[in-house]
Amino acid sequence: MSAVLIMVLAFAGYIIAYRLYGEFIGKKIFQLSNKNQTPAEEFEDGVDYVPTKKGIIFGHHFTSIAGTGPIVGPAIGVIWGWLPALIWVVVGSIVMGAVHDFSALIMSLRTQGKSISEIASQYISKRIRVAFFLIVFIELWLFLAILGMIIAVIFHMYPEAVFPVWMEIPIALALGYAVYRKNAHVVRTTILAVIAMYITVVLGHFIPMDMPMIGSMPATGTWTLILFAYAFIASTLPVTTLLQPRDYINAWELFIAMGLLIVGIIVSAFNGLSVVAPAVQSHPEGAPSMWPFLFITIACGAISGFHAVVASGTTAKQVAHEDDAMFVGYGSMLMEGALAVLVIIATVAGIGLAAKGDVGSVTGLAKWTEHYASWGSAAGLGAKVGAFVEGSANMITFLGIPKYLGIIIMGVFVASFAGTSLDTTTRLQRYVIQELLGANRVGATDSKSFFTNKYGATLLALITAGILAFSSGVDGKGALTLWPLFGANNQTLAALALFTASVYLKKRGGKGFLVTLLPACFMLFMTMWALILNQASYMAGGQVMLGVINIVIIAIVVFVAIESILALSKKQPVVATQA
Amino acid sequence: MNKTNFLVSIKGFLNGFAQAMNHKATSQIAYEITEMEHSFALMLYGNFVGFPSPPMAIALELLPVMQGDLEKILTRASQTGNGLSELASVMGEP
Repeated sequence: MSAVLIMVLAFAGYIIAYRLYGEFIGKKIFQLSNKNQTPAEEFEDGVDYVPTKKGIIFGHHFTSIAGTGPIVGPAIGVIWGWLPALIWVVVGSIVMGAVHDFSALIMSLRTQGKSISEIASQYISKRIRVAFFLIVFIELWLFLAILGMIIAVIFHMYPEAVFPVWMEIPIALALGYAVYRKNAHVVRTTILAVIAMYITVVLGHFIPMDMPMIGSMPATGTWTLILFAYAFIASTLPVTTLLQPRDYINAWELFIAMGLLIVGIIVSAFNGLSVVAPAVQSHPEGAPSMWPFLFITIACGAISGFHAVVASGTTAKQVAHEDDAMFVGYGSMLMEGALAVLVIIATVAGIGLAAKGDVGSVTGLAKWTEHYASWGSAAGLGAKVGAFVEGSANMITFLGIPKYLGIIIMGVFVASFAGTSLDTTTRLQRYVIQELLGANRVGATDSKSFFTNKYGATLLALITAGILAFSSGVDGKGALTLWPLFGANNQTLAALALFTASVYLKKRGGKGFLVTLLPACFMLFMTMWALILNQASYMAGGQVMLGVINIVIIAIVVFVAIESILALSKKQPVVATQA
Repeated sequence: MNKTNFLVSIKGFLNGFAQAMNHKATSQIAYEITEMEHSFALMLYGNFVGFPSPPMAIALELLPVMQGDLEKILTRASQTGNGLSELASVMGEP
């Protein structure tokens, strides 16, 4: 199968789906109309509510939803073969993920820019708010534990990537200082910062940094501890100091990496790029079964519950016209699906390609099997992420970039992304902890309460994540165990947002609510199935902590299902107008 | 499409992307400024919620200047409810 054909068909499918299914959802189901005032128009204040060009909101929203998830999920998910992963990413993002993101955005637009937790409380029940915060807390907790290990594994596998990733910090600090303190020209400074970052990538080749084993602590464990210490410092600094300039550089890095991948796929197609992975690998050794785990392993590239949280934040307060919601909400999810397709191509085709000038190395199916023969082959999660790094590097050698450099570029890309995610997730978790603890105790939000002040809440976020990260070892396999839990939890959030949209649509009358109800039921069913299988596996393996987390998620899923059924079964008055 | 049009399209695309990046960066700063504004308002008019305030004369002298900010804060309080979505929106998905 030609990889470039997959890319072209998938991209064409997205464009057609946007024009047909997207328009159907927008015009027929949600009845988009510019006559409905958006919050940005109604409450325009130049600060929170600002009508903004749809192209700018699209870019903002896309870079906000495209994190580490659409790279890691598909890189693991292709273990069951390229075809199931591709179908799930393309079909899932069109009929579920994009519908989910769009409906969350439009509901927020029609309820004065309220957040998804508020909307869910309004349409399902007030009790759902507690479940929402619990889901978010568990999601961030799991993701923090996974992120530290992802970066640690990349550092361990590609010591050449260590120097550039750490050097991005002083570059970001310098960029922030130059722009904010010295009023430096933004475009020129950005170009200089991006060039400086790629110079460090070249230098990284000459300065590999291999972490030795310290006592009985392997390199990945030591890196995880260092990264958590970094996350503590980075997430307690003001955003303008490090997070924001680093995120800004990362956005350009994403843009450049996506460009390199697309051009790399096209050029290497003329140099023997073809899919080497089997279409379906039903029973990889040690892997959970494809049904239902594929649907929770690949979350962000197909459907992600956290997108509803993002869409109902500032995005909803800046969309100028209701019609723009289609491009911003539906379109940006399809773009994320396109990114996941590129990752799939790198891991099923690029990985088996003989890089330009590379003679005698293992290629083809044998190379793919090295990474994907079993769930834990090579270094578990590291092997799967490594397949993306190496596959991408192979393809971009045909653009004249040597393989060693390509590996560093892609390794740094994934590690930097995960690094910013680590920082962001710590900040978000700090907020959730402050909300959860602060809301239940009088006076708990003052600075004297250790676990609700900035430093205490951050420490609590990182310690709990650290306990989880080290609960199943520090060799990278632990993160692979946690990933399905993270996916199941994320999909529960997605189901909750889709159920909320179903109740909203049912209230408006007609059968339109089925476009969100069917995906909601599908996600809930797959998640529940996976959680039950997880529970059996954790009990058999004696993994008490994971078993307890799993049971908590099962309880939340049951709660969400009951509350949603109750809300849907209520007789709803027909609402013909806005909201 | 001739060469000039193609280059203009590429430039337009890059400009659009750069604007989006700048927008995201600006919104992150704006979020932090908003937080500081809240702290400042709370410092001046904390009396409303039982916090000790600075000398009344100073708070009252600043009251007219704070009119716009107080209106924004009231809008936020009644329409936002949960800051997590806003924070996730400006920071990005984890």
